[in-house]
Amino acid sequence: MKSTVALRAGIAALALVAGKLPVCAETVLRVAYQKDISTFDPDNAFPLYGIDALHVIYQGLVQYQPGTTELTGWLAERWSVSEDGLTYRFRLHDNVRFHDGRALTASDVLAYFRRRKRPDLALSYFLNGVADMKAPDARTFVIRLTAPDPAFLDRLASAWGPKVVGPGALVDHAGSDHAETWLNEHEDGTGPYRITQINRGQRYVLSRNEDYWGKRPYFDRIQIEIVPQMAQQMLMLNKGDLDLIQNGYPFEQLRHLPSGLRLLVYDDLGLEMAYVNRSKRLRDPTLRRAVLTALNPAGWLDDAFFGFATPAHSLYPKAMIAAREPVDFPSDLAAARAIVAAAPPVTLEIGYGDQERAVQQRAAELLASALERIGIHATLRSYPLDQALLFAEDLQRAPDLYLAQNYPDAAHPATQTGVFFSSTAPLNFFGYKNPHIDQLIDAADRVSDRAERDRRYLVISQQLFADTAFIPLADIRDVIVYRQGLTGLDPRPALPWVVDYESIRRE
Amino acid sequence: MILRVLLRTELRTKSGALPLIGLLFITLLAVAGPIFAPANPLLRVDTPYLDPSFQHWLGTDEVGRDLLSRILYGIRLTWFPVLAVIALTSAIGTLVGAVAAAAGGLVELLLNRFCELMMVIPATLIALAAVASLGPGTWHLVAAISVFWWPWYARIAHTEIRRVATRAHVEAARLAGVGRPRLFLRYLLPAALPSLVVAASLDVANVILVLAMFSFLGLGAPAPAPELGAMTAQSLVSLTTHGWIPLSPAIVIFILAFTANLAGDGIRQRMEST
Repeated sequence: MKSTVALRAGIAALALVAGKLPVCAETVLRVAYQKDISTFDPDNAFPLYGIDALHVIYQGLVQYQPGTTELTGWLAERWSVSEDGLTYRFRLHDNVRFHDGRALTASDVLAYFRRRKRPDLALSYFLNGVADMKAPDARTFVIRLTAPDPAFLDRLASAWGPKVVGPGALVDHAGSDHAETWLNEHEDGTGPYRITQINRGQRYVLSRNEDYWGKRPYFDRIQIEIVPQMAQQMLMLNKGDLDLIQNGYPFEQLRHLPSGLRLLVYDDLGLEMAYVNRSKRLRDPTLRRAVLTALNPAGWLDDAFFGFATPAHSLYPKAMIAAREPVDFPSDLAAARAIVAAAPPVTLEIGYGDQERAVQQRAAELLASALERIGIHATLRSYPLDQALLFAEDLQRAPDLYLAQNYPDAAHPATQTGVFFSSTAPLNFFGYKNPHIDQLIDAADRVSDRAERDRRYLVISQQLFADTAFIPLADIRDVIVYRQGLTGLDPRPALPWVVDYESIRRE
Repeated sequence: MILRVLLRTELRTKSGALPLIGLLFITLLAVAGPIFAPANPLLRVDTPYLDPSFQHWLGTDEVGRDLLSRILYGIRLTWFPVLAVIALTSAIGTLVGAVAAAAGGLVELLLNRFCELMMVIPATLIALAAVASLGPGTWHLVAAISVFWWPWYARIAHTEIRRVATRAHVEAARLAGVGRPRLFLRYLLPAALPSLVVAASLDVANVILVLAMFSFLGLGAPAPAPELGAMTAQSLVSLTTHGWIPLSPAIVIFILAFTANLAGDGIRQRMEST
């Protein structure tokens, strides 16, 4: 009798202890971001860190297929486009439920898209061309555009495109700001994972949605640690405290990868580009030409990216438009030196983006060294994106060059021109304006034939380069370093640094 | 006078002489280092990550610049700002402390309370915020650190002057009709100087470390300036594969601070024994 009691007590104690233990590591995917997730509101921020989390919490109407820029249905089972290119009709899956248990209907999609169109939300511009929306029945959602837009479906599939938020947020917690505050730290999506833990600046945990309408994902939990230092992330990966590093692993160290780690290399839509502030020292076209000569990527690219980048072929990444030849930089260094020697002493400031800061700083240092070679002294400074967005307000205080790896909204070239090069582009950092270029962009944006479309966009690229407003430098390949045994990472070229948590598994 | 005492006492023993010689050597390197640098520290001269070799004694950094050249220039970028901080803060502190001691009464009370206020403020954090808002730069950094560094010197100057002011020879001078300015410059200030020199010499190592920390955090001279702290920070990610790149500047920072500390300690001992 005594032994039975003792056995029962022992079992009870073990059960108690087991309850306190963390979930078995086999069912937890551990990843790290270098920066914190700003918000879980899919309509109000431009995050690069956190896209993959948003991608498994929320879902849009269409998405890109893994490994390609081809579109496929997501919440939409199928869709059709009218002859005039103005009306898009989406047929929704019928068994989709939000995380709060409510069934998805077309009315919910309509309510969400109406929110997304609110001009006070940062990403409302994705729906700028939408004239009207309606939900004629529970499973049909219809969008009518003001003018044909061949890039519209790509905009919907964008990493920052519309992703349906449910009535649990938009009705129950709308508050006075259309759920903006609530969505910073909550969600009501339809995806395979839901947020179960938020420790700002430290850790986020996504847990599997057991009522998910699609295929059940492998991992019980996705644990996201905020680890700003790449050196620390690398140590954690080596020790087995992380399963993968999605971006920022130093290129030079990929040759010395410890055993047990694997590489996944793919072309994404990132393009290393320098923006030129033509209001300060570089207003002089001759000096700009000298700078172009020095910055010729052929001279420094391999030392910056160790074979994981190629010289840019145009102002579009090659996964978007495959131009035949690299950009033709001037190469007469002696002439460049003579130009600089004839001018008053030149000191330039090179700003660089703080996303993937270490990579950008290295590239900036190589550019500074290249400029030093022709007699131009350069200083470097890192700028967070929100500061860079203010450059155009005071060009005299802004850097002379701004270096960043840029990601367009989507795989269609209209999203590249519309985001970076047109007069009204939100990431046209130095406010470059050229009515002629704007006309060319407008015309190209309306072309649906792919070959003709690409030809027109390449003409725009050549003209922008000739004007030295934007300098295309390198097509950088994305590298994911992961622990041996993981499969199904399924990156998509149009989604920067995104691993598909829904398909990933451990063998 | 002080220099004479120092040289006489320091050089007399090996243990005292070596750190002082080390300090002089560092200063000499800071002044003349660029002459010995084999390459322009801003120019890429070879392939990145080359191991130390006869051609590049410390190898090349992650950009392909000669690491030895960058370190030689880096010593200058560290040493002169350190001397500037010490000179500036000791001058301001001495002036404030002397004025407080000389004026007495309400002025003394107010200045002393103000010094105490400055001393309890978390100086490094405020300096961090100041440099972050002014923008990175050596002289911004020197200014931000100096603002919070001087009260220690003010306190020493004040205490020393007050202590000496009650001594018999000062009283005698005062009774003999020596005017206040002369009394101050001839009798009081010189008496405070040895303690201030000791404090300054011991402070050099602290300032080196603080400057290196700011530079490590990216708040020193803008890149690609070869600042030792920034060089360490930038190449830290290579620690496991190309360890000499982050370690070389870090070791130089250690040697600078260690030498300065030894010299300061030596000076203190000698001052106390004379």
